[in-house]
Amino acid sequence: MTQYGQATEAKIAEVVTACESHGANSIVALAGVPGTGKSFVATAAARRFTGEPLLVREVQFHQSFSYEEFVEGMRLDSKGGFLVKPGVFLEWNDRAAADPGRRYVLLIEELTRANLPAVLGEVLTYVEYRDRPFLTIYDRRPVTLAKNLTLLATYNPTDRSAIELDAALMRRLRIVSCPPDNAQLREMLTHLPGKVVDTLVDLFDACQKQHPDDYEHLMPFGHGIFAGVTAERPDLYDLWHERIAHMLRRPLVPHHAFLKSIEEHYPWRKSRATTVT
Amino acid sequence: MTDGTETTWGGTLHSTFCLLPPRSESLFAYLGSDGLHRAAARGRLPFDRRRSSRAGEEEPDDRRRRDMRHICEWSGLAYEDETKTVRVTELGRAVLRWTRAPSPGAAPLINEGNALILGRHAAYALAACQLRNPTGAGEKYHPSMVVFPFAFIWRVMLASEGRLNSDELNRAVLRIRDESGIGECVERIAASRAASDVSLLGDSTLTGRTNDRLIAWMSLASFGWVLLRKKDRSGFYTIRPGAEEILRSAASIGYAHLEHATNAEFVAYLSSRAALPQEPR
Repeated sequence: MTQYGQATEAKIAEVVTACESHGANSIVALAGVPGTGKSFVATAAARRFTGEPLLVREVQFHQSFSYEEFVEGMRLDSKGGFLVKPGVFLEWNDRAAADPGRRYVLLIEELTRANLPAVLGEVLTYVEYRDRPFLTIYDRRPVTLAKNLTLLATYNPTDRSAIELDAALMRRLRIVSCPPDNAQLREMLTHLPGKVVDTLVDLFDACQKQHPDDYEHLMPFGHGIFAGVTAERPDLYDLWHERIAHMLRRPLVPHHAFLKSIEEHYPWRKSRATTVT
Repeated sequence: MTDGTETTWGGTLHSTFCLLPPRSESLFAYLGSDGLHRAAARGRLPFDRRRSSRAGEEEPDDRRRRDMRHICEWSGLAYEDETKTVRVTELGRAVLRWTRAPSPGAAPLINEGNALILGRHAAYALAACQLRNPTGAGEKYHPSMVVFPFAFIWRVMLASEGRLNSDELNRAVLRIRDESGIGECVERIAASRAASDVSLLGDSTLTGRTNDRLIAWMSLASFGWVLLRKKDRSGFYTIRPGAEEILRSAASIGYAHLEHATNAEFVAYLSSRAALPQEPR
């Protein structure tokens, strides 16, 4: 099992604890702006929780994801007729139910990007009541949610799709916040000179000082945006011009609230040759 | 590029490959030999001196090691490199994790209820296996043989009521030379069954310890009896419940027929097709 830095291990442990405490009756959801390590932490935590990577099934929600793909749907068979096929949730639930001595996880990335009430269907209610069976829409077979199946998810709470989550859905979530984290940033960038990392930490601190109450949700990105940086030059220059600048200045949209703070604390944006060391 | 002359599938006599109880203990001993020279791997294979047919021997016959190597190469689990060192692939390590007892007396992870989870990943790898390949047994085939043996076996079974018997395998399937032969094979099987006439399948391909060789093919195609069932009383191999969709999906992947330079490259390629989850960062 890979061991990460202290801060990263603490976040993974927080998610594992949430799964142990609430996985039997809620959807455990990691919430954070882009680049806060949600997918990374969720994957690592799911593997720790199950003890075996193959017992973690991953799926990513999107606008074309439907109830038929998730719970149950009709498919054409080879003879031109129809047959009922379990969706990814039901298939994994059946596997978990057939193997009650093991923990199973269904990891749902980008939870809010699908039409959740439609996609989840009965799962929305019965995730909380695992002893109560429900009948599926097409096959009319009784299903209970396996007690050893945990639904783990990630989402961006500032995305338009997340803002529309209603109270019934929110009530079924147990949310683990994943804000931008300076300690995880330092652990991720141990290969870079200390002065470079200090400058990046100053960037996040400046933004937090500007809006201390809303920082976690206002920040356009988290520490994970620097995950691919292998060297100060030219990676930090390229990252600015190919990604960060476009997140801060978007056409026909007011500039981001943190634009000035981030520009002032990002010296590498000026030239490929810029170095702080 | 192989330059053999064989135009029908051959058959090996390797030991039974079985992942569910009773398991192939020799296989797990071999998979547990990652990084060891093949002589050391041979020494780890289970050996009962009292039952040995060779008086005075202290180690198993090297043929058992070669059998395990063959099974592992053709299913993407392990290979022996140019220094004769055993190298276990990612898929091989997954199999070992699932089949090894976590502590003495404890049950392994794999059981009848969850075996298809591992089976799905194995099916994606097996579907990429080519008859013509750089392993010893794969080098004898004519360049015109463009055969994915396990994918072809599954496709024939899926089109033949989900079952296949030894005669159908030996007389019809083992003659397929490329994808265009699958349809004709299915038709011959259907005609043979309708008329209850084995001769309509064609002549036998394998002779000499035929049953053992055919079982060897099917044990690999089933990934150690995870995807397919052993012969039933009527003599048919059948698809395990729940495995049909897995086999249909894996067999439909249009893998390109590749010219692998070494057996290491070939086996590593098979393992890479298994779609195993990667360690984050």
